[in-house]
Amino acid sequence: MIRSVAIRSSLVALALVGSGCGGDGEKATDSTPGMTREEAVGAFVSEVVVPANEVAADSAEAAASAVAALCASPSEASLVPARAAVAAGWGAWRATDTFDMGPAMDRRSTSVVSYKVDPEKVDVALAATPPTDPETVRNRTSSSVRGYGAAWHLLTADAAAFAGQPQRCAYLSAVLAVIVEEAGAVRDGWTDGLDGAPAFRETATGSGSDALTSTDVIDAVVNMQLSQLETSAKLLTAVAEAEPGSTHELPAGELFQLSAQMGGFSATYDRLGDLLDPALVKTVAKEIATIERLLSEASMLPSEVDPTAADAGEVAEAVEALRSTIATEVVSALDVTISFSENDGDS
Amino acid sequence: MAFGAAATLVAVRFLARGWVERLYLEPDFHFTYPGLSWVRPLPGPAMYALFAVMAVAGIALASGWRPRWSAAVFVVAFVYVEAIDATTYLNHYELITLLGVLCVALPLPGSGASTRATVPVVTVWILRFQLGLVYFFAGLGKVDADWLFRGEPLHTWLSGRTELPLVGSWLGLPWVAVVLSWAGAVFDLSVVAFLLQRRTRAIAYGAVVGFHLATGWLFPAIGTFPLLMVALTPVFFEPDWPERVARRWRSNGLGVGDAVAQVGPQRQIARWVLAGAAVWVAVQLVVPLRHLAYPGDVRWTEEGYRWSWRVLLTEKEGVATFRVTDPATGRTRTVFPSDELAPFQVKAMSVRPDLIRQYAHHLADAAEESGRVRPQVRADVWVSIAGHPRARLMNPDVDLASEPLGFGPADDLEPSPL
Repeated sequence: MIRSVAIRSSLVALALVGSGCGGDGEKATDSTPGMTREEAVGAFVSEVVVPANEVAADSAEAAASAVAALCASPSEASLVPARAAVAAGWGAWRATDTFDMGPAMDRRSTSVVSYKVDPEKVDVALAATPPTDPETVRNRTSSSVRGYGAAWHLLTADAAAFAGQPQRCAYLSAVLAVIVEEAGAVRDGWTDGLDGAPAFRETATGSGSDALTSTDVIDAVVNMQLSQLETSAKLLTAVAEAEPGSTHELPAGELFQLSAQMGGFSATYDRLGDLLDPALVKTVAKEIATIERLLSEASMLPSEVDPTAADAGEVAEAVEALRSTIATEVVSALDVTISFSENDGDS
Repeated sequence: MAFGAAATLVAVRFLARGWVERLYLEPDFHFTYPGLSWVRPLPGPAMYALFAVMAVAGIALASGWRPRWSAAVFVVAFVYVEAIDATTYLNHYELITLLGVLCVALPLPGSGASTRATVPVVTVWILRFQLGLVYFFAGLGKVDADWLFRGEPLHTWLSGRTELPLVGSWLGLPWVAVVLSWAGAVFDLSVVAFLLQRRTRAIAYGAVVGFHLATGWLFPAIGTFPLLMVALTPVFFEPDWPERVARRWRSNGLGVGDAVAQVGPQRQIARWVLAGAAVWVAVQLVVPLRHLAYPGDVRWTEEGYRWSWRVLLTEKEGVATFRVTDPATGRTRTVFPSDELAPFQVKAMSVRPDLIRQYAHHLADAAEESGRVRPQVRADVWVSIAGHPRARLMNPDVDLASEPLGFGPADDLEPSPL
């Protein structure tokens, strides 16, 4: 039985990236009194965002290696670590959702790496003529049949399928090759710059002609978090309120991805928390920990999502609590401009 | 002239920034004012035409061409637009509306008027009163503990401007916010007195320019407000100031041929004009103070908040979800307003009880119109104000769809955390 080992490992990795966060909500904040917004954002970029993207790229490579090992020697012994590695890679990527700006945004990387997947279409593609080379996966394949979601679905078969169905391995390997390439490009975009552009870590910390201000970065991150939380809250609430017997289900991997995103949230407030009142940082940490606790009681991997295992309503409430705190107190304290609120305001 | 230019600027900005589409044409639902729910957006091209008409009317007014008619056209169009959606309310739009009404009602010199054209003294004083009121009530609103002793919300806002050159490093300091809060309050409460005295007028106007340039620089989102105030405040000068400036220019070989309004002591002021002015003044004094007739802190309840010149005074952020219950089955579904409303509407509604109530009615109405039993609608609304921890704004057990909409004091609000 596959359990939550893989996702935990990615979260641990992300937690190491940040400055540490206890699981009980009692965060060991090492806030720096008097830190300016620029300093806090600089620390956030260099100590959270860049390392998180490096973890995502490294995890993608590890996943590709594990899948290569599986395909070279299909067995239950090689399938289990392949699944774990792919789940870890997926979780590490989703943990960067919070920082979906710069290279990932410019390249529309999510459409290649982690877009919503349609498992039935993946099966149809596999049964027909699946894309078996990276170029086809990247340029001539729908987002709904590639990325980590597709890779995971292909891995849900038993070990014998990999021996008897060579196109499964070819498809899976091609999908992972594209993910490795994309996650690497995003990492390089942050650290070295792409296509002659300066490294985005410099841009995000105020250097160069297209430099972002610390306010730009904070606005982008907090708006992204609010969007993610609202999406999750809507999905979970719909499941919790579905009539008995209805087929309303969470999309595959929703709880898994939410859990991974919480890693990104924790890391964010480890650094940006320097700009907030310690009591507010503690509240946010506690609310994140509540969500993580509720999710940890459920099966964490995509194929095992069972909303009844983690009471969808309870998780939705926890997500709403966090969304409320961020949408009110954090937005207010960081003077965040909520997206598209652009009419002149003097009231 | 200055008002006409400002009116044109406002209309052109709406067109240039795509706000006609985003604020009026894109949303499927609009929040309305009590009694004005019949005001709907015109079809797309007509809305654009309406703004074009406003811009042209502003130009006509600025050039002095049939000023009363130009002002009337502008005001009717502007009020219509403003009445479409209550979430677009802004204080300076109210000021523009009131000044437009005054341009219609008061005698103004038209085009071709000689430099000796005169207007009744009441014209000048009403305009001074109207502008002075903005400063005075804005100052009065600042007299509270959060503003004066915590320096909030100024501290929060200034902390987001620390990247500004020269002064940026100072803006994040709490004591700077407190000092500036006091300075703002003192400025607002006293500037009119200094503008009214010949001896201090020039310095006071310099302070006005400095104050509004600073606020425009620090808070670019306030748009045309600083420009408007800088352009209109010269109404406190002696009425012949343009002529004196023109004389000075002419003596330097520059020709200026603008009509200059002067106060004409020889003109008789009709009694009805004086009576009308008295009523206007009374209304303008009472409306901003009407919040005193409601229980609770106006910053929390927002009862009597609009039209009270509380300019750039409150930092308030909220989040709202609605629970719609079918009384027949007892089943409840949650509604996220972002599914229907535009982001600017969600943001504005989430902190304003009257708009929250209105949306609850809308949800119930929509269910009824689709043939279902009128549901009960409750709201989970959390608001943080002036940096205080979030608190519930509305009583989550009250069926807001059965609460009356209007101006009466509400009993569905949670106690203020202030």
